[in-house]
Amino acid sequence: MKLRISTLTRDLSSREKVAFYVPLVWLCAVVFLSLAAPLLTMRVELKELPVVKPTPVSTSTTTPTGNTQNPGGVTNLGGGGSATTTAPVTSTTVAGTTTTSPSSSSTSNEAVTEKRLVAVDPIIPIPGFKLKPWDRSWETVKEIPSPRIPGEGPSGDHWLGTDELGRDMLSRLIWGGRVALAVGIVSVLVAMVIGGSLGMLSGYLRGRTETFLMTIVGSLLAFPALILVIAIVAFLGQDLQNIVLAIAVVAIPSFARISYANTLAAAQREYVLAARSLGASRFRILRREILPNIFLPLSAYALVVTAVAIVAEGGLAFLGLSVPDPKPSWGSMINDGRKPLTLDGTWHISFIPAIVMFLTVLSLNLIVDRIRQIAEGKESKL
Amino acid sequence: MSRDEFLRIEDLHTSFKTGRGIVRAVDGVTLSLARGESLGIVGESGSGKTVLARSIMGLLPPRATTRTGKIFFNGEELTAMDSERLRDYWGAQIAMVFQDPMTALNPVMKIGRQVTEHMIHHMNVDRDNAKQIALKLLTEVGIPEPGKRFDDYPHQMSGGMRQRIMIAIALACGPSLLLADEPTTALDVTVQAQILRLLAEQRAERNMSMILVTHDLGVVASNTDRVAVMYGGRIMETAKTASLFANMRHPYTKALFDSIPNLKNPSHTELTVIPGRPPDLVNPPPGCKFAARCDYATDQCRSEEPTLQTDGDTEHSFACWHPVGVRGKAGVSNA
Repeated sequence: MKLRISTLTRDLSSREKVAFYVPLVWLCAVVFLSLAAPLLTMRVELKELPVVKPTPVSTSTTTPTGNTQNPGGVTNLGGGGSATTTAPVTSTTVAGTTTTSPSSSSTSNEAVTEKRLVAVDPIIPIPGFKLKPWDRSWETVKEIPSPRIPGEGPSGDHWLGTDELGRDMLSRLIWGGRVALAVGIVSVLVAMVIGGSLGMLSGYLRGRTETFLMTIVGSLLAFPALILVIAIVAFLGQDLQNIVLAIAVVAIPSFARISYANTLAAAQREYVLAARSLGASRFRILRREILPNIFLPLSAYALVVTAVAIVAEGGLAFLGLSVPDPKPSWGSMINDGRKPLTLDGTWHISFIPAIVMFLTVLSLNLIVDRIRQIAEGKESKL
Repeated sequence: MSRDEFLRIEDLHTSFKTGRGIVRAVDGVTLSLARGESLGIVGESGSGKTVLARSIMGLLPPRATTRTGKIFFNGEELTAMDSERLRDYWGAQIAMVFQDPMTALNPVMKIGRQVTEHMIHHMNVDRDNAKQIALKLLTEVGIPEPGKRFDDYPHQMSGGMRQRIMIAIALACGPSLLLADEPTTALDVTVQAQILRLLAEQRAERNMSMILVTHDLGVVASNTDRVAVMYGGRIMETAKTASLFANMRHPYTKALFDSIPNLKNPSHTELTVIPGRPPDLVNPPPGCKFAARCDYATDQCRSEEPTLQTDGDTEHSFACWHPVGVRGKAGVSNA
């Protein structure tokens, strides 16, 4: 039962192959960029840095004694006289101010530390893929007045342009992809595990367990999903973890239903009876006889729900209910672009994240269709 | 009963609650079986033979099922045990072979795993030892190249092969009682003979008792020591196989026997059938269950239910008011 990509595309026409590989490449790119985002982008961090007596700027190699940290590739972004480079690699322009007031009063040579904003080079610097120090400036948007042009269209500096605050769209999209992935993968996995086991238990044990669990599932299903999500997020607080949780809760009942229906069918099969006749315990039957047989339909459904969850998170973010503001999410980026669009017709701020979300969901669905075709073919062979 | 009783079933009733009412699938069955003996249970569809076999195991859906009566296995009362204790018997001492090898094997589990899994559980052997035993067992049941087949999935095998696997699974822990529920019904005739021969060999080798449930009198004739004929959840006639075929006392047994097509008949001979349908087990008619379809039925048959009685031969009992007395119709059908 090895599932190789080559078996997935074996009997496809070249046109169908394109419809399989292009979405696959897109999805892989989204996943890769999202996972690698911290490695690829230059970060702006608040760090304790040793400060020495203000000296002429020419002493670029000053390394203070008692330097306990290793700021490899760190550039001090402090403006004015307190700016001192502490590392040899300086790859960026000065684009920030200190957050704390410069304490340049120390006249001695002893090390004094100070909190400063520094830009950290990307761990994997890709030439031509320069993500600017203000790429993640959503953390410090007020503090760093950068040479940003709000609502700028795509250019060599900003491949996908800048948003209404002048932040680089591409890097925001990449960081927003992490939110989409977290919701699409983690919440679906959580829902699949919880909902799947609830359904299996009620489908196999029947009786009171069935009544009890399916009543809960039924009432959860009857509850308006959006209101439930809003309530959960409002109650628990607006951060990524709670949004993942809320979407998982909403997805649990449908997983429970699917697993319940499939378990009912599988439990009637003779091999389950045969396993019982050999002395298998209930748990063993659930784990070894039923679970492998309902896993395929459950996981096919999980992939569909992944797409739905990504859209759901986008919807929440559009309503301002996803990750809190400076952090990017595709939905909130679409929302950010609404005002410029109505004011002066700057369309790319809303349009680009919308396209990215659309392509991601479309790719997921295309690939799911193909996998399901294969899986169904396999099942009929059994 | 003082015979060497390995399995004794006393007045077993099994009924299911359905929307239409209570279905009495097994309605007062008393049977016994000696060690190493082979008992055939014959009857048409819906006569309760499969439910009887599953009742002996205790493998009935727990909901809406009631089972009364006593079952003693090797001196222990199975009906008094909870499912935890029963699980130690299932697979280890009592094993079952199912009717349809196409559905009785888990399609997503490798053959080897299905054969060894309960061995590891019941016999306390480790995975490697279990594999050694299983390979030997697969050879015994006639799987060529068991080493290669060990990692196959069920769909890679033919029906006959799968039934051999099922038998290997059932025999793995060396059970002393094997319940074979129509083990050959789903197989074609040549494979049928092979499987039955295999079961007979294994039974002789292991001194194992067997209950063979089937609707095929031919299968029973060549493979069992004793036969019980079931109809409407009751035993109609039971005797030693040879004596039953030589001297059928119950009209139902005779009707079943007569409905076997005879190859000596010229072609286009109309087949003998039993008219009518099996009785409705929700509202069974009073009196003999077979009365409605019986050629010899009288008013007594329709009002009073006959009990098992003997007539001369103590091993041969039948439940009929007007037993047929044809003697001397010796010989066995198509064995």
